[in-house]
Amino acid sequence: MKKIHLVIGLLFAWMLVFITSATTQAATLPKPEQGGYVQDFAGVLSTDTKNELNELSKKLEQGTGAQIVVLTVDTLDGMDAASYGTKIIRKWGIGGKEKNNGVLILASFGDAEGDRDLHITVGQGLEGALPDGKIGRILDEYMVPNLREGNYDAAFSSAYKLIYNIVAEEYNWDGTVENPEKPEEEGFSPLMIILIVIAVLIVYSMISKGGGGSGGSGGRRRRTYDYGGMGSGWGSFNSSGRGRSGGSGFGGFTGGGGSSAGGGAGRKW
Amino acid sequence: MKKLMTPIIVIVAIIVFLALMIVPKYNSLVNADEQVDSKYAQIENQLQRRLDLIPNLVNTVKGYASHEKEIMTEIAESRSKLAGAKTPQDQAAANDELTGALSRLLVVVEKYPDLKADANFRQLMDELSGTENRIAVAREDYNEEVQGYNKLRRSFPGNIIAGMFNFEKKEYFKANPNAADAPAVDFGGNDTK
Repeated sequence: MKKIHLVIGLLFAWMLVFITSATTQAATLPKPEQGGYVQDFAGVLSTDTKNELNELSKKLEQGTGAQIVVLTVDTLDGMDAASYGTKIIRKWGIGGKEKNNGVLILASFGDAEGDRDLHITVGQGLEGALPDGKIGRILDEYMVPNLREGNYDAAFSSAYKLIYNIVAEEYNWDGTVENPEKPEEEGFSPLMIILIVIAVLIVYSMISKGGGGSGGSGGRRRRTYDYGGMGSGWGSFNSSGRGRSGGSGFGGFTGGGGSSAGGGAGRKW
Repeated sequence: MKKLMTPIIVIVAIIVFLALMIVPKYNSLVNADEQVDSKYAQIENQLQRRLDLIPNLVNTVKGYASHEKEIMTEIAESRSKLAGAKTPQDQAAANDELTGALSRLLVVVEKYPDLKADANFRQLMDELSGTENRIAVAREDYNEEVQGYNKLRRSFPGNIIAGMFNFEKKEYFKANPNAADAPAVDFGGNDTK
């Protein structure tokens, strides 16, 4: 009789274990691609930016042990960016295992409800250097205005560099880079108006001379990827930056086992 | 003499066998118990941080919108309710109430652009929503540990040991179902079973 009880008990326990282990693996999170620090799943960043940030992250990790990862996605699958970011830090193990010194810059670009969300998530080890309020300021002053203007490269690289420098200083490591410039306030400053007038005059004079084809120099080319396929007349740089592949040849990112308690700040943009 | 030896050996063998079975189970129960407590401490840390931030927030808001008495009283009341809550369930409910009051404050604040732009106010709101997110993470971690502990406590032979050494059932830090007006925070699916 007792034997039967024991067998039933053991069976029951085994079933419990089986059932619960089957239900805990539900959320669908992306896996890091090819080991890059910049995971541009939404395909919004130019190759130059990806390469630059990848290189910086690699240097930072070698110099301080901290890891900064950039992630863009199309959808957060109904989650808010804060908990999505925390889950990614934990799953990918961003930051060192003991120090938990990882940072994730996450933005979603889809049109579904709850997307266009943004969060910079920080591991416990960097919460002192990067308190929520400070991150909020970086978002308000640099990242959100740039994202709203469609300057995705500037949005990520400015927020990235500010955080990079703060982390470098935290570890007394001398690899800091130049701080980015603040984006222009909305509306037209007098300087902008003057520049626009000059630009209009130049264009006007070129058109009236009948030529116009030879113009596409420096400044213009750089922005062509913003328009996708439309500006195909502008030369060979066209849209190469939007591709999903390029720029991860550096490799380097492998999770260090870091975790996060959910620190950081976010915005809807 | 020889007749006595065999039963003694059998009894000793049974005792050794039981000890071998019980001791590791007992240890893992103790371990799980400690884990639950440490995760709970993390929730309490964040709740405390939240309680500390509220008075600063109230003062900042008063500077710009002194006649918005209603919402301020609501926040003060839910804050003291949270401060007085003892069990995880009460704390979870009071915490959700405070979250609801804060999100209503954000609606009120829309009428005061100066307050909205105030650096101090923005920083406080960031820190408050940061603690909110940390609480969400901590409660998910806590509930997971509680689930593991309760499972261990109920399954064989943990149930016998739990009864012998008085391991009590742990309460989940459960979200209030009608806190729908709170800002969207995902607590994961693990806390409701």
